[in-house]
Amino acid sequence: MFEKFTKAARTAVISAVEEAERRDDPEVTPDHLLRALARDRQGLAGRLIGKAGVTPAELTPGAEGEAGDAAARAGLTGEEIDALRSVGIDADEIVRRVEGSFGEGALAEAPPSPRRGRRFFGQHKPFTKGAKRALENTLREAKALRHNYLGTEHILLALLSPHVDCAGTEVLIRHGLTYEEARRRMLEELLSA
Amino acid sequence: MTERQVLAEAASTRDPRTGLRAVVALRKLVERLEALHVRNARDQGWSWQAIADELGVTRQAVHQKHARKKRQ
Repeated sequence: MFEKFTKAARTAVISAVEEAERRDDPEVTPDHLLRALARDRQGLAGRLIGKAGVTPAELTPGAEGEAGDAAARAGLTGEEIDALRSVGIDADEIVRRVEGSFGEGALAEAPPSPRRGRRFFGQHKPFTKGAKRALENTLREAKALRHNYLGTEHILLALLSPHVDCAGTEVLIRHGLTYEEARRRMLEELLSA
Repeated sequence: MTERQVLAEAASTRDPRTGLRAVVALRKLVERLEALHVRNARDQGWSWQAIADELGVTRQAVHQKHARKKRQ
């Protein structure tokens, strides 16, 4: 099945695994997948999420968390964060923007570099049941549309469907990107392409 | 004093400790930003020379600083 994934879809899955590794989360969850989709603004899923006005940061737990949380992920101490603020620099904002493009923990010390040519089923964090179901349902979504490839848009639909528990999709739905709406907009994009 | 007043005072303070601490923190942030963006440039196929040109340093300097830290 995985050979049918487009390059962008594979990259998204790998990016999800990498975020789980960077944050030292025990498993790869549907939310890791969703954030990976949101980070890729070239992919169809990322474009749909972006057009709905949702940023990757909004999908990140603790994004609106305590002041200094983001800066702490870049290794800054509370004193350092205060010192920067005193000269007019919001370290949190800087780190959040960087993480919006490169993923949470991007400024953590010596984050693992993306492994090129990494095997899809290599040694990595395990997927939760939900994440596995999302990837399986990706195939179902593509089949239902009679698509012979698995793209980021099919992963997005799988995550939005009621069969998968993904907290971040609530943010998407609040922004009007429901399962039905995502499906409609996606077909529109594909037809106009 | 409100937090804002405290901050305003800190910004205008002549206390060397605060100022120096800000410099250290800024340097730390810059180093990490540099490492991230150099890695990103390399992943996108940029040459060391092109990266060095953008950073305004020599190719040797940027290579020495970042090449070893690449993937094992």
